[in-house]
Amino acid sequence: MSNMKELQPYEEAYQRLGNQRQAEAEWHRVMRDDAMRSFLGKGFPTTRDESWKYTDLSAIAGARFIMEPTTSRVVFDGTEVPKNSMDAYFMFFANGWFRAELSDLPEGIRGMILSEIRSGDRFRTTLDELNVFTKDSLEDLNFALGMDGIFIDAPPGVCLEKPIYIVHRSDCHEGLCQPKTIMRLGKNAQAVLIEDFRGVDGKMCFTNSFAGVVLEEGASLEHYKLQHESRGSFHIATFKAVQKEKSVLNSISFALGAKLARQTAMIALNGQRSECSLSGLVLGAEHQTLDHVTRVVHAVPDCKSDQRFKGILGGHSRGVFTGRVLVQRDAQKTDARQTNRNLLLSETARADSRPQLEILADDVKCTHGATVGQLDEDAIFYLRSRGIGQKTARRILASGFAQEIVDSIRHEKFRIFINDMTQKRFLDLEATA
Amino acid sequence: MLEIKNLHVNIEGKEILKGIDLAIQAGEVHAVMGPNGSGKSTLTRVLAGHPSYQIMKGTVTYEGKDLLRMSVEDRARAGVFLAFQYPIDIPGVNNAYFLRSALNEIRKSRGLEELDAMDFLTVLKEKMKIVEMDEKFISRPVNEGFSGGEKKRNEILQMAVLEPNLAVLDETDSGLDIDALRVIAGGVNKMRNRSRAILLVTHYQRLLNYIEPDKVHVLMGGKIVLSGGKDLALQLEEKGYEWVSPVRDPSSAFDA
Repeated sequence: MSNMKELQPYEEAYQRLGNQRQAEAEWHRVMRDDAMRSFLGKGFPTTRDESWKYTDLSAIAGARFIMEPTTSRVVFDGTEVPKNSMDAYFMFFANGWFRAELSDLPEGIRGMILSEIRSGDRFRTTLDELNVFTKDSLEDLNFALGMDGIFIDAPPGVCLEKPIYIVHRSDCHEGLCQPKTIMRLGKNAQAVLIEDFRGVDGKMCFTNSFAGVVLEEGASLEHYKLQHESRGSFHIATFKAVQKEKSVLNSISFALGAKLARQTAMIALNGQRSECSLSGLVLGAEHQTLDHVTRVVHAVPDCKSDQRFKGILGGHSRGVFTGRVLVQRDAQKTDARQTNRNLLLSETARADSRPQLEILADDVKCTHGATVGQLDEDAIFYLRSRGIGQKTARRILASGFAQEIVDSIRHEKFRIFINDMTQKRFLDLEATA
Repeated sequence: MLEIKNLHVNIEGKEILKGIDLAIQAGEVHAVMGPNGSGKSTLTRVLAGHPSYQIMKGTVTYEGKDLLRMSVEDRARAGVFLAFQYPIDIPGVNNAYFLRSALNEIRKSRGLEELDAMDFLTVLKEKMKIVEMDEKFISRPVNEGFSGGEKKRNEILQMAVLEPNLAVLDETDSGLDIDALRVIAGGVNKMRNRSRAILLVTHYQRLLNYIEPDKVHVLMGGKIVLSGGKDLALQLEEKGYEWVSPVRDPSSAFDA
């Protein structure tokens, strides 16, 4: 049961939308109305909901957020994004609002700012196709109250040489940021999409983001998501992809920041011989809760999915992984793999791992494995016997554990960027251990 | 350089070493031989400072210092090196990074400047020639997916890079085919010099065909029961360990 008092500010915010909504297309208005109704009906999930058992949103539900955070004060400078080291199409969102004047759309790509979309048939079709999965209440909230976002429409055969690098920066204390990124990759199109969520120390924000991609036949997407928001923040993000014949998706999530974060990835393998690889790296410290949920649906035969998630948890942090794989009755010759490995660096850290496989076809290859362990004492001894100090040995081993995920970034410049960032994090860890 | 006196060591309450006495001078190569379970590997790990062992009695003096009071890493920084019988895999950490970190920690502790990646690579490639190691191993994760022989070569490569004063080699010959044995022994021989002491621990005599020891010790039942020149190893090969100690360990009577 939802608590009406908790939801009241959201309802009021919805009423304030009033005029802005008048400009929207009829179907868009209907979609918003439906989403709002659904959100108010469900409310925020609680730990009584099975899929939120380990991730407690009561702090979000009980807080009062600024529903229309301002964007004007946010300044982007080159130092905080890898603009100097990386050639990319940079796009900027500030507190959930798109900053067109700072952004750079690739040539040959149709880009639309969602708040300006009036008709947008292809946008609508894309959203409809993404509806193969039901929405949870946080997605409803994004669709009801989120105003800004972009729609990237890559025509067939387009091969983007540079990544599309979307920076989401939030600095409005207690502000609710709800951006959307919708992407359509035409037949045989190729792209790299990077989502970089960042904050400002001392500012507590609530980000509730949605990203959805439709991959047409033979399309290929590298998707990297980096979450390094400020330590007081809440971060909820949903990523959905629908894949057609022979499309390939490689999606990697790096969860470093926020006090509480959840990344949900839902992939529908709807076309034969499509492949997806989902991976994630969690680096937890202090009292962080970093949660990943995956759902991969094998709907047709001959598809492959490979999930690889690793958590390195120190302090009082907690890592949660719920990996669901559904192999439908017709999806013969499915090859589905899943691993979740966790390294606990302290006695007070914790990892919860829940593989959930539902296999309805009989001729399939499905494997899964989950481990929770500590640093190998023999390996520590080995490094120390070579002159490496105890703390440094622990740091080297932890970073080695993470390396597999960092190395799976195919885009070299971004791999170096993430490698530097994770190495720095491991050095901080060594200094505070 | 190294003097072990009346060393008694337990693991999990069980006495493994029962009073070892051994002294090695700079420039010498000593071999410690013995049957399985005699305490050979324990001796090497105690010298390196493995935390699972309890020292019950005795002293180990290394270059005038009380070795047993030094941390594992301080022993390495002071020039003690152990080539492991079973080298550990370190997934995700490449060989060059690992070795450079180790060398720089040692250099730092001696007040020397750290080597940058490029300078280190030059040193590393030079040292790899000593053990005839392919350069592809530079960027491979430490020992991961290495064959038994490649792991042992990697140990000797580490020794060559870190240039210890005292090198302890634990069953470096085990699991090697004859070609690999020759290469590795050749590498060790190239590192023999007047200021370095080498302690070889081995079950078989064949390693000593390639690395000629100055002294041979027989370790049985946690004690050194016999010491002699290099001919002792040949006698052991011929007559077996039972020749040294005709009184059989009662626990192995059932195997006879």
